[in-house]
Amino acid sequence: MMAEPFLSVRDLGKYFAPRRWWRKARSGRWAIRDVSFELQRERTLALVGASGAGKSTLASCLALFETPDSGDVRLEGRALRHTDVQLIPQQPAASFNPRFTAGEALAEPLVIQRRGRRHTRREIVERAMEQVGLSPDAVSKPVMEFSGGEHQRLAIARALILEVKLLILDESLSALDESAQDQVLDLLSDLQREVGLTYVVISHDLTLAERMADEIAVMDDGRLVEHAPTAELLRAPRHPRTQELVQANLALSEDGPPL
Amino acid sequence: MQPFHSGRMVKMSTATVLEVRGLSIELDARPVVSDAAFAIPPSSIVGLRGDSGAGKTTLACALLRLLPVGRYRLRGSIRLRGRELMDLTERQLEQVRGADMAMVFQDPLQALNPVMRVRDQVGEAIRAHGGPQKPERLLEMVELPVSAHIREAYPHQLSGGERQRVCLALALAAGPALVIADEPFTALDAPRVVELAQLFRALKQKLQTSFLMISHNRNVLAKIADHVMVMRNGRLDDG
Repeated sequence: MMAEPFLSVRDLGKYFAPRRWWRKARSGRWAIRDVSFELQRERTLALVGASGAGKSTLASCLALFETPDSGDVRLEGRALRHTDVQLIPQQPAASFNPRFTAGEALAEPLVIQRRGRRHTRREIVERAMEQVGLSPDAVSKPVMEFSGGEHQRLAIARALILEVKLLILDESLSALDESAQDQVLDLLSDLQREVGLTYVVISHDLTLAERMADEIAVMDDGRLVEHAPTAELLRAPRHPRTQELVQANLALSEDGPPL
Repeated sequence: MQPFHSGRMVKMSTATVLEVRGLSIELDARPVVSDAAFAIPPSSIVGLRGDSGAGKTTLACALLRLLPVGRYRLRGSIRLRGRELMDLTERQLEQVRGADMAMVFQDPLQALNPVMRVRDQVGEAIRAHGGPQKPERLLEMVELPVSAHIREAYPHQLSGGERQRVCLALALAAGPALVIADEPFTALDAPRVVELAQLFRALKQKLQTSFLMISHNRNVLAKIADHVMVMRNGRLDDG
């Protein structure tokens, strides 16, 4: 018998109806529909697709920011809980309270979840900062004084502080320049091995997906149209949308054909 | 003092569209860009790449003299079709911006008017420069489909690629000699990047316009630019 999958998503759907109080609501739209996939522990799945394909809605549902209108998400055979999953947003800088210091920003989840006491929290925060390659001395530095790459690290530290096993990264690396991106990628793969994390990475950039992910799922118009191991999907894309992505990606690669 | 030329007179005689020499920019007495020098020939794409914070956007804004005078100090020479921009008054600069040198900003949603239809925004840009063109012509030029869906839309109703093209149409409204495009490819998926890159190259040939293209996408620049410059800590190198 196959082992129970770590993450299992079944027939997930999210419907958005326009809210109009002055007249009857017109028909809404399924942002995602019939999305099903499974992911094993300590693997990385990349969700790619054009803008508007439903990637971020799926991410919000997986992170429990949105309640799906159909289907369910299960982790290790039980319903997914808030303490299982964290989302790293696209612009981490915007997700921090600008008046917080790094220490306050990282301790906030502990405070909300009522974990630890003041001095033990400080220890946990310093350990988390070390874990993501930031100096624990920076704990009293205001968050706004960190650089873009460091914000990303802080957001990862904040996500890890509750010891979650599933991280959703929503275009988290696309705003970083090449060298910062490389560093955060290294950090993520180290953490995956050390802590045993499972990642779902949302990206419009197939190159990035190729570098990070064990498997890639392609979304189009709210549906998951293809899901395969990375190498296989890039070698033999089946769905027209995947083919378009792979071809464009090849055209943009260093040794690809001229544009 | 540089002798004063009107842009149009010199257009035929000078070989470069833009010539920058010894350009240094200081922000609150701290150097941001040091001693930048480069030239952009007519009908060419010059790429500018570098890590974030290297000073790419600051340099681009300085070329249009868009940096606030109080905090920034500029030294050096910026010549557009032989005309020295450093000596111009704000009033004279207004006639250069958009008309001779235009810019496409990084975030199209912030650059466009959120409560104005696409057709009206493009029309406004044309009227501002006294051009005879029709908005439809410009939208066609940037390869946006001639449909009411685009013309009558508000910016938020368009896709990222479409918005970027509308911004480009605005920049091209007065037929400038040089368009500065700041990170036009970020936030677009790969097929849209390919289409937009091809559009830039087609426009370069069709309109004889030059582009200064800022991007951190090394591969795209290598493929479409005639020449690529790299900025590191405020200094320009050949890439």
